[in-house]
Amino acid sequence: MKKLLTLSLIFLMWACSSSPSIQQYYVEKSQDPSFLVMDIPTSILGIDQATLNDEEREALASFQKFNILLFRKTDENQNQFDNELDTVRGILDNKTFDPLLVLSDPEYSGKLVLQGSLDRPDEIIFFGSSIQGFIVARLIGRKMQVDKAMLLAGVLQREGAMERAAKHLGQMF
Amino acid sequence: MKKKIILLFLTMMTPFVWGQDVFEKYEYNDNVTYFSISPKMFQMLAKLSIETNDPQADQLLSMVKKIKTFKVITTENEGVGEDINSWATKYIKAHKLQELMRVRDKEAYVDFYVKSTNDDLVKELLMLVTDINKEQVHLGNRSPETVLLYLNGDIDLEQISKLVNQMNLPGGSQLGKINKH
Repeated sequence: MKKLLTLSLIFLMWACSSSPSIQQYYVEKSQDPSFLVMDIPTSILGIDQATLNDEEREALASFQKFNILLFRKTDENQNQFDNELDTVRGILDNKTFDPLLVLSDPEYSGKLVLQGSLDRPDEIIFFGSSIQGFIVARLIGRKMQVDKAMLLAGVLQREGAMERAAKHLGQMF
Repeated sequence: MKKKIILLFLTMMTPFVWGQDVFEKYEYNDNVTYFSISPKMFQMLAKLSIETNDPQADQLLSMVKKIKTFKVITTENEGVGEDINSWATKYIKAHKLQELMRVRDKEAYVDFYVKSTNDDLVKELLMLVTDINKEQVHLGNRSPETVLLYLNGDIDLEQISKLVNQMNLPGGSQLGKINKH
């Protein structure tokens, strides 16, 4: 019985480590001129913690950051585009990600996947591509309270957070 | 002991054997347009407690929450169309789906197959549209050759027809007529 347990454990570990992680991919590509990598903490929303109640504060704290990777296709990097697209697809097809939505067409595609439990995911990733390039956007947190998303949307509206974040982002470029 | 190992092995293999359906097979194929909503997405939607003030939208939402899987694939390629067709035929046989309705008109051949529990609710719905008249039917800038739509969950046919209608897929208007017969 013990043997069996070890065996299944090994299988599990092998299954988890067989492909490069999305995090590794981000780190690797942050040096590549074809890519634009951005790390946006949720603090950019500039929400005053004092105005939140306990439930809102806890829900907001479970979301940590927003990580964006952009690849802009040019005449020169056509080959790289195809390779990178395959790589990202390979990473997201890993069993550790649960697909939520998949849309694919000869000209564009979109995919939404989740990592962790459905109730409290640790990461939600959107991957979209078109003939102009592709984007990988990761919403990262710790046991994110997705069921409170509506509550948080209300908070964001109340605090005018989206306008502030847009202004911040506008200054970055 | 041996039995247990075999059992364990078999359990691990099942997703690989059953996972490869025609939808996944063509997910990245350049000849198809594919859209799917996974059971997890439906579960999450149900948890989000979205509220709209539009009764029609609320009705649609409550129906959507009872769906588990939604998949649709369309192609303009004849070879791929035949493959989708033959997969559907095999699936219908293997899962003992019953023919609900056949429509033959100028626009297309539309076949509906279901697995139902009672008259009002169906557990699985498969809609296959073939022989589409390309001059009359357009989806965006495409004129598909074959369309396959698959749904499972607790499905209210009347509600589904509304959804299919909104997506502008061929077959939606026929589906709406079912309950009126």
